[in-house]
Amino acid sequence: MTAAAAPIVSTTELHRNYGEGEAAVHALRGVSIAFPAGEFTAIMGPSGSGKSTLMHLLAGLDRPTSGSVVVAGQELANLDDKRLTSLRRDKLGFVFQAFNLIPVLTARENITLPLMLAGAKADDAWFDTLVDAVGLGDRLTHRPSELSGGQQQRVAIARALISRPAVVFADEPTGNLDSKSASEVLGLLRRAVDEFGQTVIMVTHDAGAAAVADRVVVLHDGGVVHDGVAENVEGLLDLMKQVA
Amino acid sequence: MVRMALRGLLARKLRTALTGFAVVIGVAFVAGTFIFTDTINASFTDLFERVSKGVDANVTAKQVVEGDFGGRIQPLPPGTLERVETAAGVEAAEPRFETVVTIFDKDGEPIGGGGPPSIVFSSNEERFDPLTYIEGEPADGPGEVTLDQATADRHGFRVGDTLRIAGRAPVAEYEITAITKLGDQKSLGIVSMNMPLAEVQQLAREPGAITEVVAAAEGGTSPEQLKASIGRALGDTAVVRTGAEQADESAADITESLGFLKIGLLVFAGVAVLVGGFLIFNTFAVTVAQRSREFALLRTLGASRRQVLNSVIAETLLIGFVASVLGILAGLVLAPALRSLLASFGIELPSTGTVVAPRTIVVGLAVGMIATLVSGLVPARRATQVEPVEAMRDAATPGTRRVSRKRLLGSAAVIAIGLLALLGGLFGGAGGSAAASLLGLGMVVMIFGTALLAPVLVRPLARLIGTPLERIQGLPGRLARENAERQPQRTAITASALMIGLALVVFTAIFAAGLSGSIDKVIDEQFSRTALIVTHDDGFSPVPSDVAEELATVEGVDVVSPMRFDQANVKGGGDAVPASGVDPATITRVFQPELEQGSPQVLGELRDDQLLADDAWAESHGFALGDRLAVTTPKGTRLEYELAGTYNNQVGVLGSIVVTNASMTKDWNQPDDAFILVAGQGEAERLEQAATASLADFPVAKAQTLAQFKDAQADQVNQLLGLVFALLALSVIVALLGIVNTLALAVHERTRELGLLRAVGMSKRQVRRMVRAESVITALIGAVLGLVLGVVFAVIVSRPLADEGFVLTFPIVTLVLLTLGAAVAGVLAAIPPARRASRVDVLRAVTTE
Repeated sequence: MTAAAAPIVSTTELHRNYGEGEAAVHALRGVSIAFPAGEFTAIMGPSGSGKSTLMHLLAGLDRPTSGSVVVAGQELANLDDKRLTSLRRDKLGFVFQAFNLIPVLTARENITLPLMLAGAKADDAWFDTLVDAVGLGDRLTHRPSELSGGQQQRVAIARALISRPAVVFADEPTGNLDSKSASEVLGLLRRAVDEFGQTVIMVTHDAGAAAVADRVVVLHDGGVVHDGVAENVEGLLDLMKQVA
Repeated sequence: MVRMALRGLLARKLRTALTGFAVVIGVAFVAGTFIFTDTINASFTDLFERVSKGVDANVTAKQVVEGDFGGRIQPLPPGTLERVETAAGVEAAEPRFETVVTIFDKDGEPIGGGGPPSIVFSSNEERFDPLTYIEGEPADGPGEVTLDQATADRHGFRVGDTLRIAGRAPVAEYEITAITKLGDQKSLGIVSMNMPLAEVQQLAREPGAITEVVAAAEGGTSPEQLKASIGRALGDTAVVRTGAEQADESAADITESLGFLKIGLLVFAGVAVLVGGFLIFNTFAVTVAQRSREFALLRTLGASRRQVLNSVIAETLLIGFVASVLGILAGLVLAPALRSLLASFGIELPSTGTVVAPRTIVVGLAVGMIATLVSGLVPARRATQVEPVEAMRDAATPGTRRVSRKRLLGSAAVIAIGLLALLGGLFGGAGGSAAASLLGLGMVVMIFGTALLAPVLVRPLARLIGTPLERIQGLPGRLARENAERQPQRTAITASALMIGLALVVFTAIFAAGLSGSIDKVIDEQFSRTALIVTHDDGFSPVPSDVAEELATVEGVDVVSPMRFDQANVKGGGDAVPASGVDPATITRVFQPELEQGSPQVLGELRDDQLLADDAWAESHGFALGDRLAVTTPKGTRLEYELAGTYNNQVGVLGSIVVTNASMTKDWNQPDDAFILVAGQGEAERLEQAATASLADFPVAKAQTLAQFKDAQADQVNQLLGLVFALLALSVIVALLGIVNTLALAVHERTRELGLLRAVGMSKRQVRRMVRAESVITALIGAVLGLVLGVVFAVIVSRPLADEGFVLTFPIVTLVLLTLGAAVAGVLAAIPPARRASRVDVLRAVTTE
């Protein structure tokens, strides 16, 4: 662990309310947290704990009610939509639970999507390394509808990594997968950190998935209730029980 | 289920509105046409009823030759007035006469010019006078005239002003003694003037001629009794009607001659409805696809197939009804707009109030609801085929639908049927309106066939159009092409809607270009020795024979050869056969028609008892050289002409028969020249200047060089083309709404996809560009299909005209501009959906519910 390193993503007193007045829902109640580079963090919590909201704010997909988010040295509140879009394109990688790929594009095109959007050329060596890592060499000309759920998620991971982002956000990446595919996907994310030196922040409610991470942050009712080294699955399950 | 349909509609306001709007436009066009033409007819009826004020009986000459546009009004035989005056029961009788003239505005320019005619009527005794004198006194002396209010207002004439009028006599000055109106008519559609009878006769150079006698009955004599009494006095020398009958007859004549206008407008309305139908079909198809889960849920909960079907049908009917009602209301606005549109193309028509006949409402509702129902039926049937199990499936983005071979064969068959109908209309030998109907039907069926085939063509066309776009725009271009191909059926129908309007525009443009080209070719080939063509300023009225005499005195002029035009009944050859008059002594020196049969010198040696005939016409009526043709002239004279030769009548320069001018003067009562061909020495321009200078007394006569004449002809063709374009514009607008609608639906469907693209870094600008490119691709697919179909139509329909000298010409510039226009329209249509797409909520798209 390189806790001393400068954080790649950090938040200060992050609040996010939905609605106003009496009916307002406080999804996040003042979260201050830092994510160092080169670390695999899992954010856990029961439904409604605010874990997805936190990830959306970290990734610049949503704006906080108050507080600040700094990603790769940039205060997100200072960015307009255009610069936020470029930031997502060039500095962030995304893996969502479902509907990760553009149906009309081939696997290869889906992987290079962020580069194509930027009008940039793919680094062939890096592309080959990624394709090799996700094991889809023979599937590159297939469209998403011709791929299994696990294969689709692997394509999504390759896409998330293609621009060598500062941080990869994964939102329940194994939520829709069978256990074998899920472990493949988690293994890939692990490798991204270990072999390629990437930073991964993963939201999950699955203790088994979280166990793969270096660090586990548990949210409850919009606040951090646990932040520590990932234990084994049993320990995490216990933790979740306490929280719930 | 009906309540559910209603709720469904409210829940999808925008889509419902867009669908409804397509129906509204179509119905508005239909209703507007009816309202417009009914209003005109009512105005004319009102007009003629007013004109028959105080008239119990009315005497006019027998119309021997009645053409499509009425015949020339013939004078009554001498002595008619006296016989009417002395008939039993006549208290008073008045002779009437009218003549078409040209008047000039304050700048000396002729008023009208291809627009409404100017007519001088003889003044009436007070008891018969229908006019309201707004200001001033009736014209009752020489040099006096009254003018209608609309013309006076438009050109700034007041009582006491001088009005210059030219009839057959050279232009003369008259003093305006009154501004008049007839009833409440804002515009009579004509320039109307009144002056004493003798003055009108003088203008027409027909002293003593009268065209009408009106009579009032003594007390106790009914109009019918008066009609009978006058009828006995006149025998069969003239036609006698009661005042009311005459008004009805005149109104009916006008209604009949305006019938083509109504039919023409209804055809354009039909096109708009057809295009609207495509739009409705598409919208329903898409909404049904999107709601398949909802339907499946209903089925799971125990709704029967029929109930689901009924709910969708109820929805279509409801939209159809509401939209039709709105359409009829919009028709009220469209009717005056049509009037202004036609007025701007020189077709002025009167209108009083607004006539909404029950028929207008019934037909409007029927058209709107039937069009909606028919277009909604296929999607509705599809809705009922949703299996309950589909409720479990994630149907967020319906997958690509493959196009079957069956469709390919089916659409080919439909196109073939349309082609057969088209060819049947052209060559089947059916006459007039039957052939035209078959032709129109053939075109519509071919359009449907092409629309059915279009899904097969979408992929290759999208690839063809999309590839360069991809080159320029990169990923957004590529995604746009893929998206356009994604649901070939939907893209095809959207493009087809645009195709319809464009096919007709292209067809008309090619036809117009061909017509102009053919006219040019005939002029170049057959009039090469002519230097000038002198016609009436308006291009179709005849000019008095003085003009030809005047031209003969112009320095440098060698040949002056007037040509006339009239109609006559030919036994065995039909009624109102168009006829030309020529001067054999001079005609061959300026005009070389293509002679088919008879001696090569026959034109120059044509005798007054001989005629030449259009070769095709003679053949179809079984006339052979040397036959004696029995002709009844407009004057009522029956003559026999010997068929001395035939000609190939290219682009209808001549009538179906040709006689001498001498015969036309003597036997046809046609002393005026339709156009005068002039040849001379020196440059044509120089000659034209000299001729124009010498015609100062005849400002109605216009001398043009061949080049100018050709330009003027082309202008006329283009003006007609402009009118057709304007009328098709509504259909094109509906088609563009279709693109807006389809894209909006697609954006809605692809919310998650758009959100994902935004999340991984597509900028708003790139999103907009992508939607725009898809719109342009769709529009261009429509343009390509329209171009091809329009060219095919033009090539086929012009086939039979090739014999008559029609040269198929492709107006490349126009076609290129139309294609570019379609692309621009695509960009415009993309604005709202592109904006919506760029504002997609990224979060909503990427969170799984």
